[in-house]
Amino acid sequence: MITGQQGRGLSFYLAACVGVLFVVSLWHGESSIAGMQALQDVLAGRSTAGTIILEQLRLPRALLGILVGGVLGLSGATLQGYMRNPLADPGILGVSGGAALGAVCVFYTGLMQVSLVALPLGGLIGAFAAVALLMLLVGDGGVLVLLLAGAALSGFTAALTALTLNLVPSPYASFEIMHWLMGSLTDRTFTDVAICLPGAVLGVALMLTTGRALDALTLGEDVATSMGFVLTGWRGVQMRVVLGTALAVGSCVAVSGAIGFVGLVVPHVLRGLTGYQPSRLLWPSFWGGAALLLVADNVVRLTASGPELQLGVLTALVGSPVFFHRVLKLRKDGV
Amino acid sequence: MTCLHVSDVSLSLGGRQILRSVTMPVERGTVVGLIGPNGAGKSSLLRVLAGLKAPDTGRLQLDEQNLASAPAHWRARQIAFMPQEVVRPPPMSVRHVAALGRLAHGESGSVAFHHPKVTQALEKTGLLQSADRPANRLSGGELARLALCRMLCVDAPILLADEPVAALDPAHALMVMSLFQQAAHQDGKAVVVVLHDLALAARFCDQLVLMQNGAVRAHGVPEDVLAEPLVRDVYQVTTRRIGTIPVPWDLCP
Repeated sequence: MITGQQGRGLSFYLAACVGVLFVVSLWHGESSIAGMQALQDVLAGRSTAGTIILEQLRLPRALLGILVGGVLGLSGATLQGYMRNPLADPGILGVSGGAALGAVCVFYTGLMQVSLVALPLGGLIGAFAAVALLMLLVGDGGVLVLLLAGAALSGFTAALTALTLNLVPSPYASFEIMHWLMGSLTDRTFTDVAICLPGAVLGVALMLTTGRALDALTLGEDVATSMGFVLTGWRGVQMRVVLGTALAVGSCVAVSGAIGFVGLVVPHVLRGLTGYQPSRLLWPSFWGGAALLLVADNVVRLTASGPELQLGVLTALVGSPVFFHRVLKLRKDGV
Repeated sequence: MTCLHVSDVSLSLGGRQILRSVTMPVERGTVVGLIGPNGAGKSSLLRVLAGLKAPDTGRLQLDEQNLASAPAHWRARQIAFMPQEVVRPPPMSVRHVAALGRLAHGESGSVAFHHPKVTQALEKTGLLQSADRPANRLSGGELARLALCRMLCVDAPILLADEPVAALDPAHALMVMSLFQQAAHQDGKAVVVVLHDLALAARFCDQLVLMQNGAVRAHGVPEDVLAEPLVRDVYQVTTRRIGTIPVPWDLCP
């Protein structure tokens, strides 16, 4: 039997893993700088090639790894808890699609040439526009309305993204767009961290307030309501779940591109270790997502000699076998 | 002593009148059975009492407090509700599911898990031995007992249950009904139960409210409410008596 203390223990353990992986991410990369020397230089305030690589490339990349992975893991756990469906993932809200569309529009209009910030900002604007549209569509509706609104928004943004790809004049731009859509943390800077951080922090804070309501919802919506939880409406649990996941995921996808399977697989794998109680799954999923993305990003960097593997491709390659395994296990258990 | 006053409550959904000026008092220490044919408004009335639906007109009062203006968290501690279809819980332990009842008091984690009320409720419902078992593996009868146990963990003075024995075999139905009776007679709670089984209603309820077309047709002790002409008229069935208990026998010609 899993107690609350063991659930917290899992969080500490995963957070420690994230700590170790964070250090590894700083130390390890394409150029072999002397990590310790670079760190000493940073502390001494000297500016060398090592400190520039450490401070301006690896540090923001590792921080984004934690942020994006954590947000995807936590969003998956929150949505799966709220919908009581282990197959819910952050993509179903259509907000990632909005972010992708925003970014693709920046590619298409050539705003990329004006400023490097244009791309993540375009993604952020696309994501927030999708959040606003989703809120308007859902209003006072319940889970079914939310699912339908998310599906409609996903389909619509995917269609517009495809249209943009279709109309894009240069094949090079089309390649750039495809590449971006696969998701990556390569060459991200502190500007990207700054763009992603406010929405991610606000979203994470909102999601973490929903734990008790998610627990109550395991007994059904009627019982949860009778236990004093307000589910729908502007001040309801659904609003916190949707706004929290949408803000956080939208902000992250705007800077990293679409990274699939983290939000789906991480809560799925950790659920059994947290006693199947949704509230206990939230923090472990955050740290688990962060750890998975840092590992994946380090693997991507290992293969950097050839054409660089995109992060989203790798997470999908790792994520799908986990599902194959679950399918086989379910069949074996006779479920 | 009356604790829950339902006065003149009406409700319409999608242009259809579901409840028509329902008035009934619910006293502490009694089991009130809501009976009537399908579509009579029993479940809707219970949902209004549980705060899941706001009535169009009328007044719900708990002691001196008007329920319409009461905060949701206060109401949650006064009224515990068990829906008609009990959702099969995830593979949490039985004790974890029972302890979710303490969420009505804002308690969760180990505070709720080790709360004496949870142990007490598990013991009353005969689930203490199964406390560590995964709740999703329970049988239908055990699940109904767990839902009742979760409701007892709320420790509310009013218990509402919508057809709690509809899917249970006679032994489990008797067990669940006697637990409701115990909660009323021994612990002084007010219990409102929607029932279809007239024999169980006669056997376990202190008061019966017979509903028809959204209105209260009769209200009183089971002997009066289950009188042959009334049952025949409302349910369109004839009855035979086994002892004092009426059993539906045939469709009316």
